[in-house]
Amino acid sequence: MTTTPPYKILIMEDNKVVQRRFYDVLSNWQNTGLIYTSESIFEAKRIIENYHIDLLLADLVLPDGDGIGIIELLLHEQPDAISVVISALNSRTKVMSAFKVGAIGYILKDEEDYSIVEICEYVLDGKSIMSPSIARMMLNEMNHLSLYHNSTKVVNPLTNKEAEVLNLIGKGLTYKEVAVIEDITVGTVQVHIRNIYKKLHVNNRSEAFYEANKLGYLNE
Amino acid sequence: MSKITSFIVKLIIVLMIFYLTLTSFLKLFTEQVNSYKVDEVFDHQKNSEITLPLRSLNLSLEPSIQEFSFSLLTDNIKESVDEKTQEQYFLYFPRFEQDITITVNGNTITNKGNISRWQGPLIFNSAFIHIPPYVFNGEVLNFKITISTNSLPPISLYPFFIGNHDNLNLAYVTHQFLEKTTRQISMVLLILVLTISIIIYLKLPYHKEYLWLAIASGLFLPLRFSNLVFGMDKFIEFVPWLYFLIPLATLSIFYYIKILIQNKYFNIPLIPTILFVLLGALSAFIGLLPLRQAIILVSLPIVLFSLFFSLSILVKHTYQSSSSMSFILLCSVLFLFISFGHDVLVLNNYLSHTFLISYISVFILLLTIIIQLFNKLIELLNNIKLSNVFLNKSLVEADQALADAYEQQRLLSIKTSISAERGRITEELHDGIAGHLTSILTIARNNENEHNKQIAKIAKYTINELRLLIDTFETESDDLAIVLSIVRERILMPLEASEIKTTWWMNNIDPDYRINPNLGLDLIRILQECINNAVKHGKPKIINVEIYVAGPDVQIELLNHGGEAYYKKETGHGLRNIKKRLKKFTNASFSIRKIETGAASTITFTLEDTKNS
Repeated sequence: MTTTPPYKILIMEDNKVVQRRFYDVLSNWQNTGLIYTSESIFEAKRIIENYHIDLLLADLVLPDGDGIGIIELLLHEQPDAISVVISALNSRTKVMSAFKVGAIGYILKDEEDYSIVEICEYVLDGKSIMSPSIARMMLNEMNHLSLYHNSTKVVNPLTNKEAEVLNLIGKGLTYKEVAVIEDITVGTVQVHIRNIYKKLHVNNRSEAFYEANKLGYLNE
Repeated sequence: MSKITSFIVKLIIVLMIFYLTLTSFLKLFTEQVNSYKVDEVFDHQKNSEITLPLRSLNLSLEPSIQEFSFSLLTDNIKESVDEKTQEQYFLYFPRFEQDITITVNGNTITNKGNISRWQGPLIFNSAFIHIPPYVFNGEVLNFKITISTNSLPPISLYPFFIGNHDNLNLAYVTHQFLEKTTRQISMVLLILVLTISIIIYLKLPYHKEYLWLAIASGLFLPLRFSNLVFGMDKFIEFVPWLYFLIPLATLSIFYYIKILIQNKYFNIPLIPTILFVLLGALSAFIGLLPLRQAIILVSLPIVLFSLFFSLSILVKHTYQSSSSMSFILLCSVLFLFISFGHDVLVLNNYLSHTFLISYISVFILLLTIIIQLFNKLIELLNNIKLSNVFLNKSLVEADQALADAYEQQRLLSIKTSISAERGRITEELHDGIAGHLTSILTIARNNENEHNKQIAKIAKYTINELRLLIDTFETESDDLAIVLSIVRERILMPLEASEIKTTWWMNNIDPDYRINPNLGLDLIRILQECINNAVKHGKPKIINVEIYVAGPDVQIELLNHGGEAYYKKETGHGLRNIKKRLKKFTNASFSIRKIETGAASTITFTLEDTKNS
């Protein structure tokens, strides 16, 4: 699971200006090994199939399709790789579906340079970040999951601590404030966040499994 | 005293009262007219006294004629009438079969005008006949009376009356009242019973008992008509056939009582009984049996069984339920039996009462049934009224529910459309405008000069605005903390980039109190306006937001420190906007005041209590 620097990074972004900026910022990071860039799904697919990738920064809207498919493909081909969404605004549906297929973080396109590096450091270190608006979406999604699984005797997938952390972030508290309330370090808050993303992904898969089973696609 | 004893005693007392009242009333007339009654005559052939009635049974199907001959001593008559008045004498025959011819001392005295038809019971006639003075030519009156019938034998000569007009008139009027007037009233009552029971049955089709009551009264009606309606004597030979209706009528009465009382134990099979009656009628029709015998053979067992079972059910029910209505009905039925017994005794001259009373008891029974029906009708009307009230209420409720459902449906469809439209706009903003804005921002940052810094600042601000817009589009929460978190994330936090320090403090919110989701956006806009005003005019270094929630009451305080000690009266466009939005809240207020280090705005309002709603 844990990867060590130097990291091989793939930037999938069709906006050349934005792509250039991310390239520049990450080139200056001491942990960066190799940077691949792609402006389309097609190119990204080719790179993933041929090269080892540690970190994928993926825009979701590309000229030849949806970035979500690439995140899914990367996790399938290279399960240890980490995917982070590059997003302009964080609109619910797109970002949520990226998390569901295994993305474990996001970078806003207008983020400051240092933030971009910071986020990459976090996600490669087993942590993650989450804004209040993402937390609110997550809360909705988790409520849906626990409602959904009530019938199949699967309880809310989050631990109490994770649920509390998610709740507090959703209410606009900073990591520091959450850490004080929960009596943990900011780093632990971020680890919880990372686990929340993972659980959404896993539960999303089991939900799909359940659906498929119900429909009779699986024999077991 | 046990229940059964008290029940029997009560029954006997009521029946005694019934019977005694009627008979003592009859006694009054009987005593006055009995001295004119002839119930013993001298038979020449047997040379002995004989007692009326005289009977002759002819079982042939031919019209039967019977002649009765006897003598009366005129002394007997003259003793009983006041001789001195020299009044005219009359004969009064209260009842005889169809035709009568009377010869006294060789003189025929009958004429059509003297006979009033259809005055007596069943198919009896009565006659009021003048005896001319010239027939009194000795001490003995020799009578030869011929009576004929072409309907039902036997032929009977019942006791008759002889006396002057005034003496006999009392007997005549009493007969008229007891045997004709009561029957006429009874016929009206019977029609009433028929009508009311049909109405009740039509209104309450599951109450089958009223159908049976209607059938019973309907079956009795033709017999009553044949007795009472003028002109029916032309069809006299057909009247006995109507007697085949009586077993069916009593059977219907049995079913009426059986269903009314919900008795399960007694039963008389309907179809076989009807077939049995039809068989009897058929055998009389083809001449297998004389009509009278056929009627008796068919009717007697059915009538006896039906009445016996009905009575048993009624007695049992009355005893068990102690219902007063049922008790009265039982008394009337029992009294009818007593009256029939009384009349049989009278007709056979075992009782000196002279008059028949079964018509009075039929009248009483019908009256009881009508009262019972009337009760039912009132109950029915009440039920209808209640049902109407209930239905109206339900209708109003259903209407309201429908209107509510429609309104909800409408609101839902509006909401769905809005949501879909918001989704579309969000996509557009995200894929298009936000992308371009980030490009602008990136380019401006790449080439740092004062001009580009300004552009970058505006681009950043616009992106934040878009995010706020999308957040409010996507978050429709009734949780005040969630709504406020949007303010903190989207409005307050970005200020840090402009080197304004922000602090945020909020106490715990009671989860029973929620904010109306429609007001969430207004609250965000109000706070945005306040913060923007503070930044624009106050140029603060620090902004504190403090939120105090106590039960449903919320107070939000916005303090800006370090900049210009700015505060403004309620004149600006922004303030007007704030006030306008606040009007939608409950108990809302807004104030802005100067403080030492800058200015403070305070907003208060009340949350909705979901616990009690």
